[in-house]
Amino acid sequence: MGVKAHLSFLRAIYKLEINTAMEYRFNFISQTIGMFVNDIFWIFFWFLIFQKFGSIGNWGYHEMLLLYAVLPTSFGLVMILFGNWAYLSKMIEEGNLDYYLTLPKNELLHILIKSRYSGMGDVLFGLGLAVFTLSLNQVPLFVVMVVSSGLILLGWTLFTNSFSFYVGRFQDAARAAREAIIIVSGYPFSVYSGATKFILLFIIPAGFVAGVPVELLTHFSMKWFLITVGFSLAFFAFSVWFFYNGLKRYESGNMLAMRG
Amino acid sequence: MSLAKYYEVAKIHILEKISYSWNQVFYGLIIGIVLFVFVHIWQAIYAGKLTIEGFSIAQMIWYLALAEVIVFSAGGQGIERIGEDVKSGIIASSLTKPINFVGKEFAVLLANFIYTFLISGFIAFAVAYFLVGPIPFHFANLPMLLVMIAGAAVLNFTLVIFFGLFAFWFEDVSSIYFIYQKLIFIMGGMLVPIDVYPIWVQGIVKYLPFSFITYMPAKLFVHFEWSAFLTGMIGQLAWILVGAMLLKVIYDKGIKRVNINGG
Amino acid sequence: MNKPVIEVNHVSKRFRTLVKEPGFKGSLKSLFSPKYKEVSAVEDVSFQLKEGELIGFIGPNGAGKSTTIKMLTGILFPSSGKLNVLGYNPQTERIKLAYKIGVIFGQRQQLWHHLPPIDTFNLFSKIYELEEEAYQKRLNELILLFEIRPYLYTPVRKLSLGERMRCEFVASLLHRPKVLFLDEPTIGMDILAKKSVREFIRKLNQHEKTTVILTSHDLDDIEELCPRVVIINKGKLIYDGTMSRIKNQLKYKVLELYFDKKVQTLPKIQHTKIINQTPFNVKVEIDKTKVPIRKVLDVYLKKFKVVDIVIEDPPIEEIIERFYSK
Repeated sequence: MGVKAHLSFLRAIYKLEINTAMEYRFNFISQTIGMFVNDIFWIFFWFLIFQKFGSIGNWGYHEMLLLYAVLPTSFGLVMILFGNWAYLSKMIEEGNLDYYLTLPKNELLHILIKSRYSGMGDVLFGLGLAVFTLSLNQVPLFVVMVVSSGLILLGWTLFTNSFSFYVGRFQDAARAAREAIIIVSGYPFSVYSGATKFILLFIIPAGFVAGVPVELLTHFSMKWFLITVGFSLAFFAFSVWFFYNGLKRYESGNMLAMRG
Repeated sequence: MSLAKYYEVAKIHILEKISYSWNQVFYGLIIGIVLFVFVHIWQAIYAGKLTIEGFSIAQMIWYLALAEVIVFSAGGQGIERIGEDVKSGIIASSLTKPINFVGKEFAVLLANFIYTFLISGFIAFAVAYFLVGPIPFHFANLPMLLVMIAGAAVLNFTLVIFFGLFAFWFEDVSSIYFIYQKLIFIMGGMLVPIDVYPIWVQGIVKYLPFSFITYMPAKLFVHFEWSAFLTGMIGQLAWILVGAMLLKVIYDKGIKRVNINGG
Repeated sequence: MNKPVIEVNHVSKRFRTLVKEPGFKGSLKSLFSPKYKEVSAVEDVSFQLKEGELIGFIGPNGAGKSTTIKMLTGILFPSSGKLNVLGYNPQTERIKLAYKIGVIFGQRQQLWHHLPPIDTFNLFSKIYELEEEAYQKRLNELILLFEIRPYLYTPVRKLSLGERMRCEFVASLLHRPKVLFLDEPTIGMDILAKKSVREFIRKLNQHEKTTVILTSHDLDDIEELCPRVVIINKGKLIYDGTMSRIKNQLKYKVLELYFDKKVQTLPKIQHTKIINQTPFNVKVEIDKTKVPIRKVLDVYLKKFKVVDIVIEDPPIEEIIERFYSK
């Protein structure tokens, strides 16, 4: 399973995704603008809040802007590169993995790859905000944080969606789990402590999606940097394992057949 | 065009929902998570203060609980479903009878509202109780509160159908749903009570329909005032009328477009 | 070297499904005290295929045909037994095997819907890692064979079902698979489209010695193409042999007629049997080797005002039953 062959495959498939998007240019543009405007709303909202209250925990408006540089970028990139991530549960339960399982390419990669260009609006916004809020020497750290943030988002979603292999009907729960982590990670992380904080870091890793990256960007600590990168890699690896373990139990169209 | 027909449509929708009952439970859990997040945020903000803009922290959380439950039950997802109905030409079959189509969508939204409100409401209130304990509430005010919630629901349905009808012109209704969502979240006072916003923002937002959907009922719940109730009712009625008129205009325009361009 | 290309050895597949009562209470119950039911989708099936064979799989819905195909292609893992396709174990060597097989699901399109077929072909050349020059040559060959040049650059969503299926075939054959699995390839097609699909399959099997496994609900497909037929019923393989032996059972067609007025007494025609009758409708089973359908139809048309006609195969279950009771 050559790496070169897979890269060539990836290039080809993403090109087709772009071509498809260009077939519906108006849609692409309206979605991009829509998400961009959506994100503007949010930073305006936070502006009002921080103007009124000054700070929340030890986070000020600056930290919130950093959050809105990191989170939309990582979220948008996952949408553009692995756009089927949120639909995995549905695909498993409806037996729609079959097609991918008859082709000679890495299953998980092939299944996840789809470009949802609503993510483009988020990416443009996040990067734009990054340009305003970061200094040049913070860029490498920012890039690493975006990648680790994406790994956590993808890993959590992969993990929860894969329960469909084991349990049967899990679509709604998986969707709720994904929305939960996105919600929590979109709010200041400075408000948690003790056991709650631990849970939100190492059990439902919302903290590593945006909270910790923001704190690393304002107060770098080598210890937390290593923990963040290490944990996101390990967590992602675990979720991939969990998926493949579940794939062995894949029942294809059985769910449909039995229901009917 | 009898009421019985609408009841049937609503019933089928509910029965379908029951088989997806876990969906409602999860909505409730999501609201619970949002409340959980907000409790922590407000605790940090209050930092020892007793009230902010007249809300105690417990009132703040219960305000949010009701606001969230209303928004979740109000069925914004209906925008996408209505968009689908429009595109698949279901409207075309009820071409000469606007009341039929709107009525049907209304019945579905209403059924959805009651069902989701009960289930996710129960969970949300349980979470709120667990987080901050109860707040004082006079049950004598319950009827007024329910009327306000009902008005909020009807107003929201009008908005949802209005936005959904944009499918006559736009291929992708999901962006429209998104915009509607943000309008409700921020201008409806779902994230924070409008009283927290600066005065100039309050001035604008007070007259828009969104605050009558979430802010008014939720505030009434934690802080009952007859003047607020009356203002709320008048505002809701006014906007429902305006909404209904706009609905008719857009519907007629849309149908004309279908007639000219084909289904 | 006549080593079998496909070997299925006492393969079984069991599914465990949750038995759930309807309604909210049922959902709650199944959460706290789940009850499972084990269903045998495939039970102790064995057969072998040699290179170049063209075999048909028939059986009622849910009989286990698709499940067997899915195990052969590596989509599902067997509960017990062994499978071997082209020397590979589909479960442990799925990707290696995938380079050498082609699969067409009649109900699921491989082609990218909004783009012209040429785009999907180019993507497949990357998926199968085909060398550029060889790919172009092969592509041209297949374009000619399936006559798709006129719409090579037309978005797939604008093509008819027949045109799409030709392109599906091209996509599945770019990498010269040794085995081709066809799951209901003619579903939803009119008779002309079906005939051309059968022609392609035949040509393929003859010119390239491709081993073909075909499942279809259309018994005419099977009858015209497959010298060998496997019948699977309720997960068990109940027949594996030549077409001619069961051809006898396929000589029946069912003619269904709808009338606009109530009909009481129906004509008795030799070599036909009334299998169902309601005041406005009748189903007549016809032995087409003994009397042409047209003749039977004429008798009815002369006697009654017929408003609708349907001609179909008798249900597969009946064929199977007949086959056993002969």
